[in-house]
Amino acid sequence: MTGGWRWSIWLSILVGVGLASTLHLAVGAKSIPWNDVWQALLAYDPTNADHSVIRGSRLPRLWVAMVVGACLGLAGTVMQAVGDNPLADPGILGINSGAALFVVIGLLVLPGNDMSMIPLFAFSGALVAAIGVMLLAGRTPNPVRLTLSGAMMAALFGAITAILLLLDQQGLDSLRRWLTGSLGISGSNLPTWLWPYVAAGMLLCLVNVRALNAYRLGAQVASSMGVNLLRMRLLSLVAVVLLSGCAVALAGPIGFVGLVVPHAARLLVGHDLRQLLLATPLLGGLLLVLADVVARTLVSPYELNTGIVTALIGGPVFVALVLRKLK
Amino acid sequence: MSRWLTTPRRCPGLPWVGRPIDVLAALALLLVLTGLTLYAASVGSYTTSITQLWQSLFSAEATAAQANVLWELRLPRILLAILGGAAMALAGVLMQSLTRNPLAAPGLVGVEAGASVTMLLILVLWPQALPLSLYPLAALLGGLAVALFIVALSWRGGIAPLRLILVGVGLTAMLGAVADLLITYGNIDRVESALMWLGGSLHRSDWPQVQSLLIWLLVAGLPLLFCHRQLNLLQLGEGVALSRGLNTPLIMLLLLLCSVTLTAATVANIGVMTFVGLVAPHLARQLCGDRHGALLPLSALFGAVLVLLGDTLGRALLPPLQLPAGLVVAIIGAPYLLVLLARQRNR
Amino acid sequence: MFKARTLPDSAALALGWTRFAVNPHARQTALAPEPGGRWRCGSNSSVYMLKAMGLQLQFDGLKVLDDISLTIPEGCFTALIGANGCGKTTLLNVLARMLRPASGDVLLQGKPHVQLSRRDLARQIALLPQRTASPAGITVRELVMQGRYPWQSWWQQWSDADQQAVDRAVALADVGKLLDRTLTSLSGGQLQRCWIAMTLAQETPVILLDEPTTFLDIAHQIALLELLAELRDQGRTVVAVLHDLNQAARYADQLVMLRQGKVHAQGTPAEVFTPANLKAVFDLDAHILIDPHSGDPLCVPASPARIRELDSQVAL
Repeated sequence: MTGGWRWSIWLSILVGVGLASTLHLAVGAKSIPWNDVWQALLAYDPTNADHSVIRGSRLPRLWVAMVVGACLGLAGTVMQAVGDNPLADPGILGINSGAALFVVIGLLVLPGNDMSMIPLFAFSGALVAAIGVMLLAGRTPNPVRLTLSGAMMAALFGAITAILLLLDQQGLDSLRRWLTGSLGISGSNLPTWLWPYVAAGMLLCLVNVRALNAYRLGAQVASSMGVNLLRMRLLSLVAVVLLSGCAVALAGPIGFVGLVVPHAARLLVGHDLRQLLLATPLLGGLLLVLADVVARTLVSPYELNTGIVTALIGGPVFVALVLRKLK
Repeated sequence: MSRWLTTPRRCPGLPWVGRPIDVLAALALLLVLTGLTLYAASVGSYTTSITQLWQSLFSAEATAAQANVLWELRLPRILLAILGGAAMALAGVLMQSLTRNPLAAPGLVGVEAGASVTMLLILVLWPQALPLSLYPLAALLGGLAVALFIVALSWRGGIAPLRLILVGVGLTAMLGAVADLLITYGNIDRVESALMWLGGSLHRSDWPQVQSLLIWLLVAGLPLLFCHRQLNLLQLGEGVALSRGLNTPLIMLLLLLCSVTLTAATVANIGVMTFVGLVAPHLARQLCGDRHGALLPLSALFGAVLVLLGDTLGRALLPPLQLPAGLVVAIIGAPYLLVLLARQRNR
Repeated sequence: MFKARTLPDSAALALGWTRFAVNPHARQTALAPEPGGRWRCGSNSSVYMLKAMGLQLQFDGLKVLDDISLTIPEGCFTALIGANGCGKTTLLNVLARMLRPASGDVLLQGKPHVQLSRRDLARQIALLPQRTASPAGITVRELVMQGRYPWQSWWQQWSDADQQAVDRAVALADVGKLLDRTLTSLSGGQLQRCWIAMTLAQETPVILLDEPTTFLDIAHQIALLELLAELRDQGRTVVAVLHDLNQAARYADQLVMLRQGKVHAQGTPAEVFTPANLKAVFDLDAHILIDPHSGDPLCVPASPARIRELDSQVAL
């Protein structure tokens, strides 16, 4: 598929997103019928209890799910493009763990409920992890080495996080849930602080699109076509750090979304990065919203953490990918 | 002089070759280990001096309290640390040599994840289902089952290192999610003890565990010391090894089984200590390269030293809080490993 | 005449004898000297070391070996040539029993080689694959020592016979000065000689080499081929996949041309190295010249552009 826009596919993606969102708003500990959901969105009635549930708790959660899914999907696409590695994902490569560790440090170190500095901690953690993985993995694009480096960094950060949690027993309970990737626990003012960073990350991706497309042909060919490789890598690094840092700050480390979404997007819209960069946020949001629906309804009235659901789905998908691609 | 030390030679009359420098390194490590053992036996919330140690060990004049501390608390703990470190290090060498990848850890084939999930299932959901003495066996079986599943999934006329590694990573992540599930929704007391156990902690050591680990180490670890020629040959490439007469698929499977058994036994008795299996072989490789005749014993010694050091530091740093040995080893070992691998990255 | 074959292996080795050195069949039946004084194998030799019969092998539905039958005469240098992807490496791997053919047999001195244990086979056939791994920190001496693996066991890991075999191999491959260097510090040519030394230390009557000259510069290529010819003169059977046609035609006693998984031609270079065969196997238009010094055939590819240029000059 070279450049043509298949409108039917895009239309079905958008419709899918819309349906999933409505489903997300409708289900939960209390099932709310569809027309009530529409009314809550369009003709808000403050006295209706259902409407306040939708507006007050479910709608914010839906936004968070869409934003986190979009960020992770985009970060995964960029990582897979720059690393030339179909198995890259912020979770597998330890970036999420690094961001989570630094957020834990931030929460333990900062007094009170000042959430505005948390994203900065997340970004620095993601940056440290990304640099560590790049140092370990080396110059040649070797998917196995990259994956293993990431696994090692993730294990390392996990170990440090575990020690920190042992030292601070009270923090254990609330942080535990957050550390498995939970969409329900995020202060309501956190998303406001994050919009500029998310926007900046997405903008950087857009700026990089042509370079990334050229890079698909290989580093030397791209460089002979005039692509500034250093600038491309730097911009991609910053974009990935911003996007995955925002995702972790919002919802804790959620893995596998960045792995699965780019592959699914490639199946639908092809390999052209311009279309991929448009499709992956949508599909990422879709995936995470659906995962959240599953998380909330599977063991109702309890709630599974979304990160657990994505790992349970994403793990087998990853294994299937490996078995199919590596003959 | 250095040429004399680094050239393989044999004692006249004996049918084996080795390098004198490797023998010296092994002796030096043994000395370090002995010193560390003495230090570890004397440190703790009840400090004993060396003379008191000597008395408890060899004479009948020691007080009952001293003897108790030594024999019931410290000695099993020290021995378990040494044996566990050696077992994990051997498992790590095997994994790295079989996959020819310096970043392969013993937990790659899901043994640790499997054993952890099994233990968590038991500890959190059905604490009364099994007697305490059967816990290690259950963890062992769980770890083995997952490892065999991963090997079977990635089997392709033999062990394909690439597929094995990647399938292992994916399934380990999935099992990690299941473990997270159990941790998040379980009773917090049981979960805390499970977390301590998962961090690689020796705080519940006793003699039956020492016995069990010793037996597994002898069964799966000792034969390894005789497989060094095969491992050396495997490093040259599977094609080369096959054409020199090595039955490559069989040997790789057997060695993988040994690695899995050693890891499972350690996880069952001590808990998860991934980094020992990653770091100890690298430390040993700095001394002797890929010569497995020396690499295997030196890694085992390094592993024992690392875990004993980690456990002693974990006990001594912030009393009365006991940091799990596995986590301390991770913190000490990982920066060293990062620097080492970063320097080698262009290979 | 006292044949080393009747002694047990260890005794023969301990006495410093090697099988092929006193092989009564060498230099008697299959060989006849050429006018230039060089020993050459006759194409009608009835003494064969390896014989492949009806080999078939498929990868992913593609027929890589399609009913291949050929004989490798004893004490000769056989070169396998053919275009990329015609099955040369696969054939070599099947001969060395690294791959199992879907059907067909390989006979080693009359017996199917699947009947031998891996270790016994390794004492007869040594294969040097095209790509090898260089582990860190291993010296050349230790690499060559590992070639003795098929002759060792748990309790007998190093003997005087092993040491002598290694010394002989080192002398033959001329790597004596490199013994204490690590593999990663060697150049391409030196490294290849060290791998050859390791293969020689295995002391097998048959040596198979997969593209041994690929990563070497021209001087090293010639040196390697001269070494292989010397091995052949000592009575070993050498089979090599070569990609340089002229080198193959010069050094080989028997040339086997493979095309799309089948044997297209098999025989001495004089018989087989013809423009018709070259066109069929390589799709190459070439002339065959005879080297005035050695009498070996030499192929020179035709160049239509050059001929047109010359014609246009003549026309003027």
